[in-house]
Amino acid sequence: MTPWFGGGDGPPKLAEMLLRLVVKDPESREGILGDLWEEYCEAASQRSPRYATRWYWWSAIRLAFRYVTARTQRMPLPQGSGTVIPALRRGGTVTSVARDVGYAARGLGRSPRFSAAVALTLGLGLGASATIFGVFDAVVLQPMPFPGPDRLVRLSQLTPRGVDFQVSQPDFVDFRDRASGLVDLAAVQTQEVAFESDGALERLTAGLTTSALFRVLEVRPALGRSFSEPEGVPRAGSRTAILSSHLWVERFEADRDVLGRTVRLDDGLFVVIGVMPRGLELLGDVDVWLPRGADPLAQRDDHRLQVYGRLRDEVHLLDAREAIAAIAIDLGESHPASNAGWSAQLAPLTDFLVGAQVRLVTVTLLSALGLLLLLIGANISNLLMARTTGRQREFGVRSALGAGRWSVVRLLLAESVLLSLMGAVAGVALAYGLLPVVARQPELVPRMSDVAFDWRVLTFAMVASAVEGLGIGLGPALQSTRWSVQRALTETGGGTSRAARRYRDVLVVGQVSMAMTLLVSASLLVKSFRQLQRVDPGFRTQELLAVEVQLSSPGSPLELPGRVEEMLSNLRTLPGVRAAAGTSMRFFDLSPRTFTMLGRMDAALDDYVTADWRIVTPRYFETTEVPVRAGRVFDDRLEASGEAEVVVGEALANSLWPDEDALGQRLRWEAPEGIATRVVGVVGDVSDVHPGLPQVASAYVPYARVPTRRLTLLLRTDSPPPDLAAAVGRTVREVDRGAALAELRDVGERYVDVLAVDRLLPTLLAVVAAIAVVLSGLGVYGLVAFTVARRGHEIGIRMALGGRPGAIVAMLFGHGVRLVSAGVVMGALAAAAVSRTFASLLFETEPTDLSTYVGVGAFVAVVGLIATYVPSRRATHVEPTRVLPT
Amino acid sequence: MGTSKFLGEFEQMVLLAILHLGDEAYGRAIRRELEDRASRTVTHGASYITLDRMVSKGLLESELREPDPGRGGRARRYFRVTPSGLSALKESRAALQNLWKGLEAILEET
Repeated sequence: MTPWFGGGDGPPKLAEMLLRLVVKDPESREGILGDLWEEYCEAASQRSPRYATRWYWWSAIRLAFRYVTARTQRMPLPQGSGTVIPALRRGGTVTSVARDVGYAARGLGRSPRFSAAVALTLGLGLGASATIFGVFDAVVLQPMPFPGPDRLVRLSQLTPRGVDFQVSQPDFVDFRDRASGLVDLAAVQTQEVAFESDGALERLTAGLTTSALFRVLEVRPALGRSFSEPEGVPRAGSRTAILSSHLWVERFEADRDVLGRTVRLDDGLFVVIGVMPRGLELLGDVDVWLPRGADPLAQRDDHRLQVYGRLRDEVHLLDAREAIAAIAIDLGESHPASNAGWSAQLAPLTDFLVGAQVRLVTVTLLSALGLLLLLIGANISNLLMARTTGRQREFGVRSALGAGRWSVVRLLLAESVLLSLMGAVAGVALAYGLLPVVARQPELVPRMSDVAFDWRVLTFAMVASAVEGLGIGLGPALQSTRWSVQRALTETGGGTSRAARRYRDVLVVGQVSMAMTLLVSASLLVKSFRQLQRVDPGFRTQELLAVEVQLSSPGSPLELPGRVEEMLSNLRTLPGVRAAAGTSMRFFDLSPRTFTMLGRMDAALDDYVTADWRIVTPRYFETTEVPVRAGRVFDDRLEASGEAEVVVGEALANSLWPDEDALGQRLRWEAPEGIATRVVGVVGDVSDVHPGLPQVASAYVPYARVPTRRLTLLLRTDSPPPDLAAAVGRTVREVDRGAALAELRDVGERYVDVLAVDRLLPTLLAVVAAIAVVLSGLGVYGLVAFTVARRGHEIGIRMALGGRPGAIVAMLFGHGVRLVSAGVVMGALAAAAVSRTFASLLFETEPTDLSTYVGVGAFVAVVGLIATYVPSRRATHVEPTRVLPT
Repeated sequence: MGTSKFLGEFEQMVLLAILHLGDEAYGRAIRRELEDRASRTVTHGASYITLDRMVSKGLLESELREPDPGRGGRARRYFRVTPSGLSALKESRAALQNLWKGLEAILEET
């Protein structure tokens, strides 16, 4: 792509093409292109290639402009006839189009400020739309970087209540061996590993998989080989690893000799056998891939495999889905304890990766921009009409000299197409500059890094601008066909024909209604975002720091609680730290979490509820400031013996024991024969994943009972010193030399970050809506002012006959009020229809929220009325003696 | 609206620049010569369009020489003043000289 715009070896090819089109004489062309090439090279070596490219574009455009206009200026007059003006002679289509364009260019050149304003306005709209289209295209439309992407599916299991779960190892084997419609199924399990580089330990995400993944995705390692089958068997001698492409680039400087080197992961050495191709990061943030061995001890109720498959060519998704569902029913019968009531589903991989929400966000934005383009079009059409009306004498003269109506229409169309082309150039430049900036915001949307300026974006911008150009030119062009030569030359007024007036009325109503629709949509989204921000996370996120750690392997898991307790008590002594605790939670992280099923002692499996369970150390609730509602929480003495204890959130307490006190009750985990625990405390509910997600029932178990190597250490701080992160690292490593730490992060900041995506749409839409309101206000003002100016003649007569100025203003204003009201009502109706489509993006906000409609309606009406009233008043300044012929 | 016998000021300057350059008169060199000798900045458009027009009027002739890799494989287009170009230049000079005659006193005073 780039050589077309610049950045290749020579000058930008597209600019050269432009010159080749314009300079007809081959000898002249050869000389010019060669000269410019020389100058380009000189500029590139003396200044910079970027400068040279800009210089080339600038020179080429100016030169092309000169050539086009020079040709029309030099057009010879026809021999022996002085009556037909050149532009209107019949000629070949190509030459006459070229001539029209040339005349249009000259016409626009005569009012450069007008042309620039129009081109920039258009450029803004087109640039914004092209940018969003680029995102939409890369994120939603473009296929994944795997062959036959539409055949790729994801397999998941559904709980009896329909919640989407990952797949358990034994179930995966059954699905794989029995599903006939699939080429293969591949499982990926992620886990954290400590990676040693330059003496320091770092946490990486490892993806455990088998060579089946390569068969399913139909990709090959970018370097080296994939896992061979024996490596998929547990504990098979030498251990191998395949690096992800980003790890290879970042840590191994893309060294091709990396193959055969060993890396230390956790406590083992792994031989690097390959490097993954790019694109696999779509499946998750995996840094290094390791062979996955089938674990003979894996339980059917332990759902931790992400499963991908590829449909056979002749198999339809629906059939494969049915087959999978049938296997799930079979499994329920043969393994009722774990699988009764569970089903399974196959979904296209793109749906899983892109997500309905992202699709909806981009479609909504794109539609909003489409509306904005329409509005801009209406506005410019309006400007052009005013300009055309002012030129009717010119057209009258042309017609009188023998120009057909069609040629005047062609000239006007050429002008508007040329304007929109200039807009397209500005818009393309804007998108070209914006897209790389957007692509650097990968946390906003998955696959954002694929966003780039390419020919698809260019095509979009070109098509949009061509449509826009024809659209804006059509009104004035059609209007011009209605003039009579005689009237144009004799009358001073004009543009007052019924049709022209109706067209302007339609423009007013249209602009007001589009502004209304956009502003209502934006207001709904802003309101929804406000609601989202108002959600109380249930704990204090400020002054709370979190660091994820991975402890080194203990001799026995029983060592871990003591180790963690020692770490925490040391951390509490650090300056600025008021409290410290550990948990299995990662705050405001949208990655999948661990759910479990909980039920009363006597409940049937169907009555179990899904709960999010967390492991916490003592003082967790004190540190996070999650309020304790009843009972007690785990205390410092480790729960060593006796009955297992659990602390539940209020939502869980209410759903299991709606009419009783939850304290002292017992509940079962996973299944009617699962372990039982006693509720010792009830705490407030928290919303620590995303404020927009429904609060799920939560249960807390003490770390001493479920010690894990991976946990998040939390610090409640109070003006922490700047070197706290280093002190935390030292403190942790003093206790566990092999501990790997991630970055120390502010939970409050994480909370702001997790809302970034939700902020995106309201913000952008608010900007679009603001532009729309301003444009439509200006548009209405312009139209009314134009009407007043055009009807000056009529107004003068009225006043000469004794019409009172007040009555005349009232007449004009009354008409404006009717138009604006119609626009507001139509806009409200359109908004009601449109907001339904994005209702799922709204959080605790109805798409038909009355107060929003009324508020926005009043605002738009006031803007519209001011825009009508101000020019209406001018009518009273009309001097009958000046507008009426004497 | 017949073709004027007299040359425009810019045309004269172009012809003179080409004569100065001799064998080395191609587009870019001509523009440089004008910039150096006459301290005039000349846009691409003005120079190429004028050169084309003068070729079509028969004041100049042009030829392409061998392609040059330093120009993206394109040849330079060299210009030469034709006899009619030369005589037009002379006529213009003579006409101007006639007009100048007798005005030396006034013009030198200021």
